[in-house]
Amino acid sequence: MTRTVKSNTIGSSTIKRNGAIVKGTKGSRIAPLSNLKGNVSISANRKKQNA
Amino acid sequence: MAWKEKFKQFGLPGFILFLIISLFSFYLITNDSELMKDLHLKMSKFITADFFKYREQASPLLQALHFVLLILIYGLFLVGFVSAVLMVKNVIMKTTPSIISPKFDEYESYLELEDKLGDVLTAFDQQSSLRAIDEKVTIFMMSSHAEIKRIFDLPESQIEFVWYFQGKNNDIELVYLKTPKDIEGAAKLINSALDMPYVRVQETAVNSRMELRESPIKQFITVRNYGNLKLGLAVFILKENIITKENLKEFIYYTSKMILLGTNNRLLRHFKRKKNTGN
Repeated sequence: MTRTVKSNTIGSSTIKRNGAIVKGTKGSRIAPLSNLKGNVSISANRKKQNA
Repeated sequence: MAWKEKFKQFGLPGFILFLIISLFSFYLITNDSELMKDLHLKMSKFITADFFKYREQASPLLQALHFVLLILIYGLFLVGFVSAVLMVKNVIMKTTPSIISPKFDEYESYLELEDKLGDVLTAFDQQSSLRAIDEKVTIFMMSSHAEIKRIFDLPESQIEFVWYFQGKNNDIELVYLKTPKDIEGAAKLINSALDMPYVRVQETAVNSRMELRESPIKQFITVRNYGNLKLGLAVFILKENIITKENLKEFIYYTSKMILLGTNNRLLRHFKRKKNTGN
């Protein structure tokens, strides 16, 4: 890969989460997503290119 | 396609047998007179040895034995023919594609990815500048993306990647090289996947969820490490019906090595650093 890498192509966000993250204990199969949490507050931080 | 499966199971010998049986039954239908005698006569015609010539005046027992012997000889010919065909088939089906086989390319790309990870790890050991390490981590992320793109056979525009790790107060920090089209939806999916104890979670019909009915994300799959969340990768596919049994198998195989990435503290620290530089 000879492309030049610019750090300003990177964006990031934070998901504010209520409740603990469940530990990963099972890996024998790919589980289908059971239920969806509707209200997620998210703060996105975008570093715009050439901005 | 049940018949296709059946055909695969029996393969070429089955097909040849089927051909012979159908020819035989066709013959049976068209010539019903003195079938056995006719067959015996025809079979012995191709063999030049005197002993195998059909004799009208021989006793029925001798004739029957003669006939059985002929069938055995033809059977041997048939076995030889079938194995010759199989040999040719093997040469065509197995050896030739290996020159241009996708398997070979896959193997190469795995090695390339390993190389990129190696670059990152040696950069740690050489105490390279943060900027240099950061670049190498980014290159590694890009090659991981490329690998997954290859697994699902998707162009850049139809797949998005988000790396995530645990922040303060159970918050989830996301890092990405390209901002996803639907970051809200992506966040919902990642957040919900973290409510489950599985290291790999998928959603093959994202739009069937009420909240994500309008989302450009069609399919979602994520993988993270065992235990407390250290590092995870979420893949968002913007096209329907991409995930199949085969590419899932390859995804599992590929990510089985990746789930250890988060346990490397130095690497994790640099992902966290990326988050800060992204702000």
